[in-house]
Amino acid sequence: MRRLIANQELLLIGLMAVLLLAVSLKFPDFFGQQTLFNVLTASMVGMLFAVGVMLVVVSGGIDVSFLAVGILSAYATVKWASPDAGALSVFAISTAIGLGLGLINAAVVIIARTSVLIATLATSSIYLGAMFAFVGGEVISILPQSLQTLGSTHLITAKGAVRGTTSLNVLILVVIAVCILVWAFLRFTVAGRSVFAVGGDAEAASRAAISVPRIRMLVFAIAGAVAGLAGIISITLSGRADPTTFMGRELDTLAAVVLGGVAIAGGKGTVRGAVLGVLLISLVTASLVPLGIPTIWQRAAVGALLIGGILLQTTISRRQRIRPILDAPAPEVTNA
Amino acid sequence: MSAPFVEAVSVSKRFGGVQALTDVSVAFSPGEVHCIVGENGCGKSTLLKVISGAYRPTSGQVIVAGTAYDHLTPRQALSAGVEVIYQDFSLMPNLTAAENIALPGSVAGGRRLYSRTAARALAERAVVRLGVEIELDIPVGELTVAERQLTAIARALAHEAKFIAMDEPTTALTWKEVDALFAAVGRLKESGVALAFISHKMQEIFSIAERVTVLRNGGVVTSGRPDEFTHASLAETMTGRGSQSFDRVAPRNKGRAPALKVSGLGRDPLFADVDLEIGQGEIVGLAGLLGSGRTEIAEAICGVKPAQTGTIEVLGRPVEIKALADAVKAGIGYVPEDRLTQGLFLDQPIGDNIVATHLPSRRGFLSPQSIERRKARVVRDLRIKLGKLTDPVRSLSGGNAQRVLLGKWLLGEPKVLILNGPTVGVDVGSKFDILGVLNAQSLQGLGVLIISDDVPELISMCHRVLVVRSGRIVRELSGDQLREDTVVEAVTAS
Amino acid sequence: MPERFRKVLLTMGTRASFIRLLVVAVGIVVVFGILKPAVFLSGQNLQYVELASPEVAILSLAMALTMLTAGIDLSVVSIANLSGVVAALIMTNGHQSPGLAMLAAFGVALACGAVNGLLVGYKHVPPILATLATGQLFSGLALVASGGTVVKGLPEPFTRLALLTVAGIPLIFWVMLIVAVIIGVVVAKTPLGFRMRLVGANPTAADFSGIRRARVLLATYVMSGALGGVAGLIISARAGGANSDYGSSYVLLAVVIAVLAGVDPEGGYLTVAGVVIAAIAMQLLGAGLLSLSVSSHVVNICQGLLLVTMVLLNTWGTALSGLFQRRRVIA
Ligand SMILES: Nc1ncnc2c1ncn2[C@@H]1O[C@H](COP(=O)(O)OP(=O)(O)O)[C@@H](O)[C@H]1O
Ligand SMILES: [Mg+2]
Repeated sequence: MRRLIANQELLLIGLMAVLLLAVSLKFPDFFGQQTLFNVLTASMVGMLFAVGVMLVVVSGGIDVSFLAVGILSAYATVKWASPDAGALSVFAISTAIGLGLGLINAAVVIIARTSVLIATLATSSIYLGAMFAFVGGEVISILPQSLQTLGSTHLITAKGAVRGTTSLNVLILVVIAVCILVWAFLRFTVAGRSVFAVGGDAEAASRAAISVPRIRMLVFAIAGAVAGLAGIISITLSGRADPTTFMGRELDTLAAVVLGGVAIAGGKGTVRGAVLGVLLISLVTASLVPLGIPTIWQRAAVGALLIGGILLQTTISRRQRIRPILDAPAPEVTNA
Repeated sequence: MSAPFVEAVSVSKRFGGVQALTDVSVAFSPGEVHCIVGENGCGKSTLLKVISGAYRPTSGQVIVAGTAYDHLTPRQALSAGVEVIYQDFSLMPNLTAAENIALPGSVAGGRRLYSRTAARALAERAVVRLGVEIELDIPVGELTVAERQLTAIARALAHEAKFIAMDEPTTALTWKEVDALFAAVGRLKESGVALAFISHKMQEIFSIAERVTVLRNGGVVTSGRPDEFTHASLAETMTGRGSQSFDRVAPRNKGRAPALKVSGLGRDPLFADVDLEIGQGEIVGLAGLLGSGRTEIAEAICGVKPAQTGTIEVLGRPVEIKALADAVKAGIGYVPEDRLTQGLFLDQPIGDNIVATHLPSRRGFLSPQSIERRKARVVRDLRIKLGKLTDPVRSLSGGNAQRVLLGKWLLGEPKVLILNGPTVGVDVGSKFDILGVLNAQSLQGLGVLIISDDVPELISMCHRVLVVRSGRIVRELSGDQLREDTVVEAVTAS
Repeated sequence: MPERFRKVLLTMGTRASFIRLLVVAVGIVVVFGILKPAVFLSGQNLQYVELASPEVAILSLAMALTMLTAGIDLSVVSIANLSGVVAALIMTNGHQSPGLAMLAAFGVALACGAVNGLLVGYKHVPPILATLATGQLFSGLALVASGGTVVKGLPEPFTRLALLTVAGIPLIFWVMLIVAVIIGVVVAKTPLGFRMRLVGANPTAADFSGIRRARVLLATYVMSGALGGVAGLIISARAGGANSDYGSSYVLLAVVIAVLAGVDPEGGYLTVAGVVIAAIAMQLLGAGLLSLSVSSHVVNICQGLLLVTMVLLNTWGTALSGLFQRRRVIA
């Protein structure tokens, strides 16, 4: 039973099921493809950001620069791309810029030996400032043709629950692919396992021959690249490049990651958890209106949910720490 | 004899005010078990960490397989075949035992891909080779101390090491496990591995050592074959003094209420049925292995991790202790086990460390004069050698830092003082001073409970010694029974 | 400098970082004073800085207090906005007096701080997590309360508070100074402040010294919340309205200022005078850059760069100065 509750991912799935059930009882139509597509579409970008942040958090640190990295990479790419640039190259460039910015983050953390939070607070302010000062601040509403096409290429289009059609963009495949890649990286590579080692105990990891700075670089590079990709996907999906899109939304993604059971102190977390956290928040948002709650409550609701999740997590992790002494075989028994 | 595989050459290491190693040179040859011995805090672990690349020496070199390094990295050391079992195990608490065992080899070997099954198999082989059982698939943080120690040992055996260093690898183990370890050590020796074995347990040293090097206060005192020493001469070389004891005046307080009386103390999986009584002016020892529950019992009495059942009385009055602050109010003081992390605020001024617990204030404001007076009094009474009161406590030597801690508690004029490892990492002179202060205080009626690994020290200081095993007090030794061999036997019996 | 004066200034701060801060502050004044004397040194500019500094300084003090205990308060700006919105609603919709509204807002701020304190102190939630979550909750509540818009039409007696001057200096600047003195006294002269410092320096050792850590943390976060409330009132008085996401960049700014002032994010050090000076210095930097008529975004960049520089100096400063000293000896 304890293990069951301890498994935050199961808990999230349970919560989502309850929510779905509650709304579906009121509106049977809610339980269907349309809700699925809406929630997935709303989650696509968030999932990528969450996966990147999850990586950094697992390695021991809290990244708040990922949105700045994402929007700067994507906005600069779109701004300077020629109108007939190919989608692939646009995506590649945005990802590459993100990777570079991630490496800058890593450099600051490693050289200044400061916490990831402080370092990324500083770099995110620099990145955002640089974007507005040197790249531009206006909304770009005409994207390169290739992106426009991509934005309206759907994987599945189905009849809407009530009327019209509902569809799922093909970019969901990219998101899924990235999630699988990161999962595979964490599970099947020595570097991936080292990320957990560093997050668990950096000192012990370095005594086990793991180069902590190198792992940090790798983590920030991947997180930056994923953020750059997320930025360009966001722009493609919305059909316009607005540099203010993500302003001040960092804490939302962190909230999703924490809900997904990623330990903020590092060393513990899964791609699955981060994805589930984002999906839960999207589902909550989608359910508020049918449940008769104004959408304005969304942020407060997520905040309350988050506090609940955190309390649960800390209570469980504190309880596990005691190791029995009395259970050891009694001296008399072994003497005989 | 073949050429040494690992060598430390004139290594010195300084931590702030503590000179942990001074110009130490030792060599470890293939096929030889070389014991590094010395009292707690003499620099054994530090030497080992320098050899493994975990610490960079302040000066000196480490030579591994013929290459001299000014700054050896753990990776270079591991790749060259240097494996270390650290005293604190240095395991990653969030990874499974199998991963902890397998990962370092994969990293040092420059492998890219990781296979869970291969790691599991490797770990299993290592555990089987050692001849013990460990739960391999749960996070190491959830294992017992003994299992973690075995994991650390298995990790060192898992790879083709040419040199294995073990830092007090047997502290938490049962006899059976120790035998398994020694058998493994024998096999490794046969196959030409160089071994370093750190210990301060006489029996262990004499049963496996082929060479013994004695450290004292961070320097090499002597080095030789074990048959050049006797138990007594080795002990004397380690401590630098003959066996000495205080004139123990038996406390005459039959009519008086005990300073501390504990009955039926228990906390579920940790300890149970703890009864103990410390008279006014009595010094009582609490002996037990690491993980025996000795620290937990002390921490329960002083409220750091309160007990669930049982009663505590101070001077005959029952007191309820839910937190250390309650214990302070009741007149119980506690000098914790780990001075660096639990005892001191390393970067804060010496003076502020002294008044951290008993802070004079009037009407909600600090009273600077009486604070300064108290600081000065502690420095004078305990003869603390310092630069300025505003220097960080980090700048003090181990002995002076421990005096700061002791002074901090004596300021409150407690009725009972519980000390966990009061002389660990303390030089001989300070050790004698600290014990002298405790003795003097006890003559004035203070009840003292000392938890220590240092059996000779317990014997020389205490009127009685209580032995803890598996969370219970199993024996009480006093009078004629209070001898080194009886205490050691009572503590390690299983 | 007279010994006592210096002691007050340096109370619990590291000397090197305080001197570094003074160098930065003086440097800003000198650089912009030379580059644009007419604009930068004008009375108007000075008054702008006097009006803009208080809210930032007070939020930074809140951040610095939590950092003293090795924590952080990411929710302090949300608390400021929530209490601003509450005060505004009571005045506009409730038609109550500004005094009552301010009291209520302050009460809300204290309650928010207490929530943080309970989570951090008694539930052992890492401060960064706790305040991340509560910040979300508080700003969500502010959003709901304000209906997602700016609450406008605040009564004149309230907005006038932002314009009043006493002895030629804006009232809100005086408020900032008084708040700073109170915090300075708490930190340097009371057992609470002493214990906050020890809790920040080494929480485990604090536990093993008989310090009731949970209580100390609760008090810390309540104080931080209270400061957030004061800042929120100042903000809404100055803006003549309140909304739920005013000044989201203030979280960063507060951290920058605290670090600039030499407050150690790992706990154990705080200089109140330093925080106030750093806050004013940051406003001077902003005003100076604007006087060069660069875009306001360059200010962001400079703040970020300054933070990186200060962190670098905190890490490498002693090593560097050691290097220089050794050179001098050799030369
Ligand atoms: N990281 C550290 N910082 C400060 N002092 C240390 C550190 N590690 C060890 N010391 C000090 O160095 C001395 C030697 O410690 P250690 O090598 O652990 O002794 P041993 O292993 O022989 O018991 C002790 O006085 C100890 O307090
Ligand atoms: Mg040791």
